[in-house]
Amino acid sequence: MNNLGKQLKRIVSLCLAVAMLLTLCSVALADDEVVEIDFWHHYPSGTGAEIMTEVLNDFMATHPNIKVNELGLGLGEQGEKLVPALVAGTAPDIMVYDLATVQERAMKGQTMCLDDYVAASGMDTSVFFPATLDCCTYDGKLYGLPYMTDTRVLFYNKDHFRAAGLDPENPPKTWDEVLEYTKKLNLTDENGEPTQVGFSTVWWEIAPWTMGWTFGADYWDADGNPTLDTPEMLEALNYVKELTAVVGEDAFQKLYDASMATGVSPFTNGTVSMCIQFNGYCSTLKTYAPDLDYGVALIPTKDGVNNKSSWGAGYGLEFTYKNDARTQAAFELGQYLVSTEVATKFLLGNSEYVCNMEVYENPQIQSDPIWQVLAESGKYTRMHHFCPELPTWPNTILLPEWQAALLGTKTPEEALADAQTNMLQEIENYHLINGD
Amino acid sequence: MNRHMARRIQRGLGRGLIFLILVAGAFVFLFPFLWMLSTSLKTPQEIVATQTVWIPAHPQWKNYAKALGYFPFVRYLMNTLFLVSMNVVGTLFSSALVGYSFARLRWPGREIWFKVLLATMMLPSTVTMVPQFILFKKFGWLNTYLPLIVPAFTGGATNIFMLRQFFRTIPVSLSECARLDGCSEFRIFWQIVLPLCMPALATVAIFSFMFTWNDFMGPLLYINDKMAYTLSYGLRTFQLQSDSKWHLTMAASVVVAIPSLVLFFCCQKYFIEGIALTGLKE
Amino acid sequence: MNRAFAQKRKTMNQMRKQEALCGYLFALPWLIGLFTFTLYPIFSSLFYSFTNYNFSSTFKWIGLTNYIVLFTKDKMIPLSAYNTLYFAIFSVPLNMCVGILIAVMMNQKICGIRILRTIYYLPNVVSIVAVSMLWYFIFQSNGVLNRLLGAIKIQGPNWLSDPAWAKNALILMNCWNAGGSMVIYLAGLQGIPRSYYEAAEVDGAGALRKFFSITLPLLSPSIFYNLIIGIIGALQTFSTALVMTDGGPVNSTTFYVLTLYRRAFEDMRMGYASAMAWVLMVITLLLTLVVFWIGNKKVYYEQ
Repeated sequence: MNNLGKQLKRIVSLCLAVAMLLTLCSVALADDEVVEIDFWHHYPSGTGAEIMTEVLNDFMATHPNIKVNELGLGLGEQGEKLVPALVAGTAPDIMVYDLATVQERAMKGQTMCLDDYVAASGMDTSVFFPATLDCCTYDGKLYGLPYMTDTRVLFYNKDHFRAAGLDPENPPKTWDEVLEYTKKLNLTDENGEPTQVGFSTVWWEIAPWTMGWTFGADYWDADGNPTLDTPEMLEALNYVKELTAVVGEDAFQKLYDASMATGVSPFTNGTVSMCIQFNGYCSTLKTYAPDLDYGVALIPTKDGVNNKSSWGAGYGLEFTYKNDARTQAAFELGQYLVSTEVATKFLLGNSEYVCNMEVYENPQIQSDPIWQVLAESGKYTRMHHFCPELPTWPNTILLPEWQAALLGTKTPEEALADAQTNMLQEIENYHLINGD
Repeated sequence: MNRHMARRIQRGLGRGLIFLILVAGAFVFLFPFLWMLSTSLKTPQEIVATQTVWIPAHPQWKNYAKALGYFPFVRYLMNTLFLVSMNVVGTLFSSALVGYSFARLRWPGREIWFKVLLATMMLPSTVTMVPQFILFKKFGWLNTYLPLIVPAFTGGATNIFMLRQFFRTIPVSLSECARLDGCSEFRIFWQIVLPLCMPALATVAIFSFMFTWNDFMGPLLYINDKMAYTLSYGLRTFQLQSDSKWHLTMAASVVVAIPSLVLFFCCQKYFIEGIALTGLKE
Repeated sequence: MNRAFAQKRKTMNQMRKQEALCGYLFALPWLIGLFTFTLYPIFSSLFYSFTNYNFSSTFKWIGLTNYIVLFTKDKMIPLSAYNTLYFAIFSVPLNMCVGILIAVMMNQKICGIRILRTIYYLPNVVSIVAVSMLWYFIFQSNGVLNRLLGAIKIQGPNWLSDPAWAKNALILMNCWNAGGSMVIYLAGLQGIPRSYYEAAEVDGAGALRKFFSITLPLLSPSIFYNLIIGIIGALQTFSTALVMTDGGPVNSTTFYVLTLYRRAFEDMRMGYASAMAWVLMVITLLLTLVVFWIGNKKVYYEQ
């Protein structure tokens, strides 16, 4: 009995040893084969997250040696999570981050240069909107892949146009036409209370940059010096004052307040006839006002022909270096995400405005009149100039002065002159602090 | 009618008046919550309607199901409960000890250390966030719950300050007598002073619960695993979508707010209608 | 006799030493936390305030330059400091008065008082983002608040879009969160023996007299706490402004810490932001020390 017991014991331990050895081998082999990368994107939940998961599963199926650990960060949280991570060196292999600041991270050496990888993979970077590609380029080298962007267009209410005797297929192309149309679209009831205004004069919709560009103004010259108080800017500011007066400040304020309390712009509940909004507004309209008969058009310009422009921001894919295998895998994922077929999925599934221009040649998109306009607007969309001295210059320098001029606390000339002075002061402060 | 009766009637009237004022004020304080509730039950069209809809025509209870389906609600709830319980226990224990030390034990340098304690609250977290992150990275605590739990056991400055104030209202004579009787400091703390400060301790427990329950900054910074997040974080990622769906956001907000309210309601007997303590103070 | 006295003194000394030792032991959790978690970030930020740190690995020592720019050349500093002080001066006393008033009224055993207390605490429980939409509704030019004011013949302003009134709107919003201090005052009120009130009544004291001579002095430890925490909090206010008005209109609600946050995370000037933080800390500390000096005379602990 004892002998048998001993023998049994030996057999069992031998089996265990073999099993362990095999497991170790398989683990070791698996380690060699599978590369794990971290990917932080901007879809914490919802349709976008579902599409992303599906896309990543497809990727992992076709690339069995790569495992992607994904994490979705909400809007506005990327900064809070990614900044400490980048500083501490724990940022993910590939991340979705603000397009406007790619150059800043490139300047600090926090992200990887992609030139070699692009050359090796044969990727054609001319498929991206030129403005977005410029954003990802620093010192002549590429530091990010343009991923998603947005654009702003003119939304107009076709029913209102018809009621006012205007042609719903003929939206205004010049700013003077906008004034004309607005006068016809302002409506009041028998008590003189406004029930409808022609144009939405919310500051971020007719932002200084959107307006200025369409009047031919530019804020920075070729040498990177600020030019905030040019005659074209003054013309733009004076025009906005005029537009606000024609719309009727009190009238607009009342309708605007009423709708902000409901969380959406007044165009949504039909109290405003025209507004400038970004492409994602279509989804909002689908949720809150599915029966609204609206059209979109390019943002008007001074003469309707030149200076067509729109403003955009967006996301790029940036990479941090961990080791060669991981970075190679991460780049393959990046290439996959910006490719035409995958980008098309995001556009069709979640109305994302992707940076890959080839996507817009898709017949489904071509046949949709709204997407046609959106796609065309992309060609004229510009991004903010990156000013290393003060990246937040649009909101901290230009905007408050613009608002002061509109409120009447300063004349437009004073406001723009102050903006220019303040900008120069900030640049000086920056160089003082950096000792150069 | 003698003076005693007259005074009782006067007191009754006074109480009634106060009650009426409180109820009127309650509407002011309750209004926003009722609005949240109402919005959570509306359809999107009702939300943007030009004529304000106060009570939705057909309450959309399905908004709640939809909102809770956006993130792994039960999982996040479990995570949050774990973090909250660890934090409340840790904070109560450590803040009470340290607060007692500042209030009733005399040791050299006490007042200076107390000013240091206050000073640590005066630096905005914006500038300490990144160095603290790097510190926790050096400890190897990133992507764990440790940065969200261990600091609770070292006492929060606000809670220590609060308890110090309450401990100082207990007469010194009680401690002195016990000391002369040969009681150890810990026994005086545990058996004499602490029971007299139940309202303060309950207050610390409530605040600590609420802070951890609503804290999203901690999970945001230190957790990288989708399944390890908390309810407040789940709610926040919701709220910041660029195409905000208000009806769903409100539904989620209501759900996340309810446990705190229930806790507050039930705990009132601990920190307000306190265990009999008037007698001991005389 | 002398020996007995000397022995008693020795025991007293021993007891004092034991008490001091216990003092340190009891404070140990906080001291450990201070040295492991708290001091490093604090001194890091002090160090960074003397550099041009911008989150990259290359930065250099620039001495007092950040502070000089802060005090002489940055136009946003005086503006944001003014906004913050304005907010603090009005909201701190307002919150305290409202908190005490509500707590005193809530400190009774009436049927339904528990529900009332929960309702008053409600604002502290709901998230600001969810409530912001509602506050737009209340503050709009023909909204609830202005209609109420119109009923007593006052022309309400354009609360959130008028630079002169946006701060006041935020102060009112902040007042709505007085439930937090209400809880602390309620806890403090429990410690006031009823016998004091009864004795005062026998002496013929009315409600107001009882409030000022008994309630307030015995509540002073809680008042002291709320005052200091209130000051520290008000000087650091910014998240509500960020959500509701984004610092506008025309920078009227750009508070000091909002400017700090923007300098740190949007302009990437972390060294400069650290200098701003330390200036704020020193000012807060000085204010607090003043409050302590007054408090040592006025706050009544039953010792």
